[in-house]
Amino acid sequence: MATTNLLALEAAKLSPSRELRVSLAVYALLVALALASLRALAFELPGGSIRVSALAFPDVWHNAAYVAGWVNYLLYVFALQTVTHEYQFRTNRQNVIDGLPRRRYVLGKIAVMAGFALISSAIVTALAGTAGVWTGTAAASEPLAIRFVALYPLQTLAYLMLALFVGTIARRTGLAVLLFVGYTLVAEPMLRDLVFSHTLARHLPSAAFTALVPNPFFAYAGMRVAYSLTAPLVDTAIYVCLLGAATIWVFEKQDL
Amino acid sequence: MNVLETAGLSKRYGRVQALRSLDLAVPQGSVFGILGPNGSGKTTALGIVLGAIHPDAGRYAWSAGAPGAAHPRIGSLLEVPAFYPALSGTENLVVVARIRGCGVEGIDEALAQAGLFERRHSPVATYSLGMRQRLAIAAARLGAPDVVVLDEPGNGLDPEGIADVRGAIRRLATGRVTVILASHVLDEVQKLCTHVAVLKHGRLLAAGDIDAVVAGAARLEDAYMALTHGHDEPPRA
Repeated sequence: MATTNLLALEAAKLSPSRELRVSLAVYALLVALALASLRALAFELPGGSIRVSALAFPDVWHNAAYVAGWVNYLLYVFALQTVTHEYQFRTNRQNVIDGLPRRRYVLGKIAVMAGFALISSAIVTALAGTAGVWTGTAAASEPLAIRFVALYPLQTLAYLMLALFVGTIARRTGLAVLLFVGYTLVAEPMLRDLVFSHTLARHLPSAAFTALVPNPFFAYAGMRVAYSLTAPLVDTAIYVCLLGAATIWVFEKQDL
Repeated sequence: MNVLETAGLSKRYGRVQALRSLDLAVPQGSVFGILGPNGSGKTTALGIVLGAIHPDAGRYAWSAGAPGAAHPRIGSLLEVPAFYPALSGTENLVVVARIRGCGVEGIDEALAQAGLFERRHSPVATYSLGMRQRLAIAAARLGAPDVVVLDEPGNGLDPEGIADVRGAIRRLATGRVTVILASHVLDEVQKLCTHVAVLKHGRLLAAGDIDAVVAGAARLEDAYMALTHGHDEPPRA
């Protein structure tokens, strides 16, 4: 089965799904609401309160990528469901029995994750661009904010690959969501604070992914955070490859 | 010429030995019944030869029969119908056709034969169990397979549906398609199968031409009871 056929197969599974269309519409709406919440952003500082134009060019690229990163948990849950429903309905077993090699099954799912990352990026870029055009241009707190248009898809893909791996191991939706959210929001932050040194902690998966699009709002308060892009980029690229390989390995060993 | 041969296939789930050193040979063009009570290892054996389950030991080999063909085209229904519930019957068969590399032209005809043409655009989630079972059998037959594997195909079907399935199996058999049929319904196996294997607690008790297995008994049921008598203790690892 050629690569194009693999994409056609995954499209045949997903594109007629009303659930997918509704989920993406809700996701786009939530991203829009998250961006709208930045319209009247104000910070209380010791010297008084300041109002910032968080939706103005060029900062809107960074700000939108950051807030969308939180809304993305909806996307990750949907991705987990896409993986675990194949186990629940035993459709992955039927795919394998019908002649789809296990490795190609996982490659198809990786393509789906890449597709989700691209769709998410298109939605965020379109909404951020629209908000920027609407608001105008202001002084930049982050001179290279446009680079987050490129970093955001990589961050999203990395989390989606983690979701693919977790869904493949957990097999059940509830357990997969618990593991994914528990690891990224609870377990890893605790490991970073309590177990690992700062040097090692920033190489953990979620830390590396998050560092690609760091919190932009410190800059508005005049705080400068030492920030290197090289290490998170390399770490994330390695994790994406490792998670893909690990998912293939696990799926090839599983009884379906 | 055998289309499938297994040697020493074994599988254990925890402390339960689901399959114990299974040796089978399925002749090409036969209707091969795998008979046994629930938990006898029928589905595990079929899951292994279909590539869904990894055996702990042993090996199996499919033979296409046709010169130059490495592997036969196999259609199957294993245990329960497995479909994407949000997709329609047609859309699910498109998924099957894409994986098998066969055209989608035969889908409408397959749905009509299964009596599902009127509901072809309805989501499978709205189908009854019997309708799903018929859709699964239609999927198994899609793309003119060389071998059709059916695991308890009568499950969930009304008497008319069961009769339809039996008719379909007979038509497949006359078309030189090898049919492997797992069932615990003795009457069904006796009416349809040319060859039979009897399993209990993962152990092969008898296998061969159905007349040879029935031997002097009046019915397959009598032969089955005689074979399985004294094998009530499940083998432990």
